[in-house]
Amino acid sequence: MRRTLKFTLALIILLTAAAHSASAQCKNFTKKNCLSELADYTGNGQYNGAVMFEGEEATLVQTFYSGKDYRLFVCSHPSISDSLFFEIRDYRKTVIFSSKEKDSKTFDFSVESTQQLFIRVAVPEMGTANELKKNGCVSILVGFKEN
Amino acid sequence: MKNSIIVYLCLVGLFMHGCGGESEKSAKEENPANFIDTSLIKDGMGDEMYDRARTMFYSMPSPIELQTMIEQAGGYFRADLLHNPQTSSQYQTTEQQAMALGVYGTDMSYSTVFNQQQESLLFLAASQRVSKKMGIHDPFNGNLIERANANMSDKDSMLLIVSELYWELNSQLQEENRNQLGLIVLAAGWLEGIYLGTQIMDSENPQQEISQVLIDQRFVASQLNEMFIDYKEDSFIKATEPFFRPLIDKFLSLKMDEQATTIKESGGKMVIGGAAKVLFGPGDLKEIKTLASEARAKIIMI
Repeated sequence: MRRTLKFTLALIILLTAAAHSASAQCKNFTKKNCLSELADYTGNGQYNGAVMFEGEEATLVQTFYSGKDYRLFVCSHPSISDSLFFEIRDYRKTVIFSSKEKDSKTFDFSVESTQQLFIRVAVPEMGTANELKKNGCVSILVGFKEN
Repeated sequence: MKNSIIVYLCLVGLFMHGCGGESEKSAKEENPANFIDTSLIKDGMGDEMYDRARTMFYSMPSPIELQTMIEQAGGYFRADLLHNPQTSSQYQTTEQQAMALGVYGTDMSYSTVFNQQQESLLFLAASQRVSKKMGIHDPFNGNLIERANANMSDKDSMLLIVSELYWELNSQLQEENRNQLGLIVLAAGWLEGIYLGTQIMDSENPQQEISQVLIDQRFVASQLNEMFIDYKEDSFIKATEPFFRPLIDKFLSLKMDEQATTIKESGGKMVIGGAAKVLFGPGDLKEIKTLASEARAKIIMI
């Protein structure tokens, strides 16, 4: 009984450490490589980072205020950054911007009236075998300044 | 021998913590909570369910953003509206602490935006006290307080420091899977922002620009509503969500006038136009003011 308990405890510690590891790496990656891209925009203080595998996509929902200039920067690990793209969709989920056409991971914009936008980030399949699927940290950063 | 195995497993765990790789699919299987689960999409779920699976990716504007909006709209500083930073050590439960942290964070942002250096530092210290009680150390690990002291007269530097503090706080909570706590900190900060805005506003003759900033909080209210729905089974959220519910429901009751979205290039940047407009009357603002005031009194109670 005591043996099982000790083993379970050790396993919990092991899994917790592994869980913390991936997340901490993403945070450090973002701090080191991404935050500076906001330049003279003030970061909105939100951390939106996760590890993404090829074939996956995610959506960030964010309110943007009129009267501000915004910079959106989708920062990703080099292993997936070439294929990664993002789209901005309006409240009807209609695509109003795609980074595929611009070949840029930065989008500077403003909104005429306050609104919610959907930022969809996708890492397309690269045809890699399942067990070797490429992955890396992806962080969506939003900065603002007065316009 | 048994003890050695346990120590070995712990060491392996700590080693992985520091040296994890970037491309091992097995890591995803060990810890699905930290990864984006796309299985729902693959099973053919609709768009709405797809978005709902990504609650971690709802993002709220920061209190600094709202306060700069209020400043731009003609708002001003009123020290008498701020919460008492001295009470920061008296909050005992995690619920109280999370809500107090949200309030202090917004008061710090408000003071910083309106260039009130002394108040900014007092609220920074109050935020630190509450954060530490909650086990949130990351934002204060570096030399943040020293930097704030050295740069207190430079508004831009202070805004940067406050923004960094929020980033560290949010990332630590997300990193430790304490998103519920993060949600309540954000919700309390949002409520404090509306409280300050509505108190500054002239209720009898509301200034148009401030009214618009406040009424636009309907968008944020709808995001908060979604986030609360995602955590509706969580006991921590069950205990704290009722403080915010009347205000959220009031915002959600406001009708929207939907217009087509446009996008055009102007001066080297893209301008997104159209979208939905919130419809409201003077009575709505008065009600929002009352609800925000009532809720704020409850969340700062010791």
